[in-house]
Amino acid sequence: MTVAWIGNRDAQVPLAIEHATALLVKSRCPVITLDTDVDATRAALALARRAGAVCDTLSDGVRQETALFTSSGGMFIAPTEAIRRADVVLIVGTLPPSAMEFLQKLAQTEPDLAGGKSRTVFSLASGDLPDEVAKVARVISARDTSVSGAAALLRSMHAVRRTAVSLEGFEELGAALAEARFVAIVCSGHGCDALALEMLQGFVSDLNTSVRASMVLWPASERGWGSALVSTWNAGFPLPVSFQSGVAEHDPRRFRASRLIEEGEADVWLHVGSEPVSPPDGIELIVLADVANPIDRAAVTIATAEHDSVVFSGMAGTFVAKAAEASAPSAASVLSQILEQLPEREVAPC
Amino acid sequence: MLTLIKGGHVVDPASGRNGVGDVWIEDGRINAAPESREPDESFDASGCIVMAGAIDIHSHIGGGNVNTARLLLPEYHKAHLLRPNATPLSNLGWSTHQTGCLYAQMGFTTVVEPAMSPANALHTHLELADIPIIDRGTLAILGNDDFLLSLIRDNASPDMIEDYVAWTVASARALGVKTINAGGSAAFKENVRTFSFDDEVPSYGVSSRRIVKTLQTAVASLGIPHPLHVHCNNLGVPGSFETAATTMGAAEGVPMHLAHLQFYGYGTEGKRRFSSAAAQLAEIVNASPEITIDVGQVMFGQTVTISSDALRQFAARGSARPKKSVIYDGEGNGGGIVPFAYKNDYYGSLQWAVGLELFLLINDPWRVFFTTDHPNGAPFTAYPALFKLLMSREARREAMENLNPQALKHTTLGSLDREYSLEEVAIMTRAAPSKLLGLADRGHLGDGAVADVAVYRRDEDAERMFGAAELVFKNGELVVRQGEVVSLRPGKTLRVATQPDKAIVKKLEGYHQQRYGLSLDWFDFPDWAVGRDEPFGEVPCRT
Repeated sequence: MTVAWIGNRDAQVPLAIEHATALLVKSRCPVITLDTDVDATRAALALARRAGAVCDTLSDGVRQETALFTSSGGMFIAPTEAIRRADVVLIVGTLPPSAMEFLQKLAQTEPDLAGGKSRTVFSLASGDLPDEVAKVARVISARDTSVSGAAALLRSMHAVRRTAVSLEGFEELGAALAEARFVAIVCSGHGCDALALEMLQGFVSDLNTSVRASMVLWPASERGWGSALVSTWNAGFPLPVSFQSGVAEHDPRRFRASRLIEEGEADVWLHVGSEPVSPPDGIELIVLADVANPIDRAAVTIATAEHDSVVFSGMAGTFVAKAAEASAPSAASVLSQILEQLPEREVAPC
Repeated sequence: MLTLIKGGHVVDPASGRNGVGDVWIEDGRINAAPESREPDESFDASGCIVMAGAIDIHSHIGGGNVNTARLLLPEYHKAHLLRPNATPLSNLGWSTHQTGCLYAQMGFTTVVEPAMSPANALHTHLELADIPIIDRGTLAILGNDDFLLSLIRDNASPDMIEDYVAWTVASARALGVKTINAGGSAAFKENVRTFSFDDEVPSYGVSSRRIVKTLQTAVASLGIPHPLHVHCNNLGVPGSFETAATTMGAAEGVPMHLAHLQFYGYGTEGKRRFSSAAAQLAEIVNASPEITIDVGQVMFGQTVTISSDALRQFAARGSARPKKSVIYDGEGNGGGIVPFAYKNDYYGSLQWAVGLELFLLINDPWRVFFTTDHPNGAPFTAYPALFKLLMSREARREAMENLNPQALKHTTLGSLDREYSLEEVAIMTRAAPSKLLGLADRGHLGDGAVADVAVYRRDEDAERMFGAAELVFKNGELVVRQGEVVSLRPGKTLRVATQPDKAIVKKLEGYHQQRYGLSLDWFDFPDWAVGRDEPFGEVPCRT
């Protein structure tokens, strides 16, 4: 079975790795985008360090979530703890498909650590929810207001401030909040921009003056968030992280991969992950992904598969191990082989 | 490979050596001087102090809360600004790579991360495995988790509680057990805002005292070498010395370790109602042989506080500098991240003095441990400056000239002349941690010990001497020369080999299915998940 291509031509994996290495060697501005497991992220960061590359995620949602932490922080709760403890749940904005099982659990179970109180679920600008959730959720309507605008209205109305427009159905939510034992605001960078997330954190902070409340921040991309966390401990910075100057640097605008690619600063783009990608003119694209065919317009495509791996789990709120066997090479092993072939630039960490 | 470190001043309290001599290494272990064999390599250590590699028993170097601190403060990390040396936290050891290198450069070869949430154990071990050179260990947090609180509430048998503790330690690959504001985080989730030793957790009716005593008994019965590691209630609160004193009183002859005691050394005297109570605490420690403590010294400058004491960190949010923080309600403890700058104002000066008082007033260096509670009191890179303060009353006097005189009046520091000797430093940072953690293979230079050796160029200025080791060997391999890392080798994470009973695994499987609708596998992991060859080293339980 073919597992590598140079352009559209079948190739042996070692030859494809050699070709990918040659592209990185001659690159003046390589970019690596990640949405992958822990080992592959470790290997990609080591490769970026050696190649003087930028590492980043393509997920706008992960970027919003990272910005929430770097700009203001906030109060958060583990999803599993929210299932057991939250008697009032407010879902704000759309959530990614990976969150649907969690939402169903919230809708279908009662909290066992809420002093005997049952759970009430509200939704605000949440789009299409699973049937089980839609059946029980009381809808707070913001009409045509954006999610960040709706979050601002929520906070203002709770503080009994005058607003130009109002949220329909807020009265019931307000009454539930006043009696709540533990409030969980469920949201994601998938459906909330940075302003909405920050506003919701302000709301959580307001609530905590009288009751307990916290936020379930469901990652827009589980693997993307995992990659961001690995980068944070490995390089000292969340994504994006650049090794262009020889040391790790973090600048969310300057090193944003999508900007580097769109504005033509990058000349080689190595993508590790399953999202569909297409290179603009003038960029050599290398893709490591679980694919059966070469990626259109990619210079190199290498089919990889997850073997025994560790990935971030939204439900667990942390990393979990996934046992698997596959015949295709893992992304981590391919990245390590490219690293071995790159000329020495500086000492790579173990 | 036979290696000779020749002619250094060997300070090894465990073997009683304190004089000029040689140290031999073969196959990663310390060896007796071989007869009629020449070394394959030899290092001249004349003019140097030779000690075992140092062991740090309490330093937050990896895990979910530590990583969240990194995430919160990228602007305070080196290389973000054009002048990295002027960037706050530039010396913090921010990435896992830097952490291993900076520790090794100071001659530290084993470091314990003292706060691992069992639910987040894999994340912690992934980070620890990425720290090069040094060996690591980590303590599993218990005492706010629903399973344990329910067992205590329901008067479960001591055997069942021991089985649960054994399972937690085994599955989390821990070196011991820590309890952090026992019951306090659980109470905080129920909207309780202050929680003391005899307060009860709502919904459970279980007091902090009962949780601590239950865990202390279980740890001792299981033969886990390190006694229960206790982060008391009321951290940082004026008058908190009473909480620490009460907690120590509850040890009742069974070993107990109190973490970062400095943060409890506060009385309520003076117009600010914030004074030193270090002398009272030191007196209790001196009279209680079952008690060990680490200090958690405060040093001045920017840092970030990282704690699984979610209740305390929530209360501290208002003092965040810069103004951002993270509070996390997790299974069990959760935690909080609050950046903070220690200034030489009244409060900072008093905290600094309280830590030094504890170091100098606790008589037995085998029972007081050298920590800054990194990074809570100060980054671990402040250690060399702290050694100097302990070894020189003149250095302390000079430092006090720049501090708040009103604060110093509320301490005894000005009257303390004690200076730590090299042997006392070696006890506190090598021999005693080895004994406290049950790491018989390190912390000394006796035959058969792991060849972790630190060689320092003798210098009247202890800060300069301990800041950059002349030579450091890890498992017999040269890793640092003249203060620079010359080899990046992988270390191991040390874990205690407890043997959980199968019945508790079945009970926990049912609990997780019922409460979370998730398999127990979500809360456990295979060794391969860490992604390193042989990531763990085993430490036996005491028989």
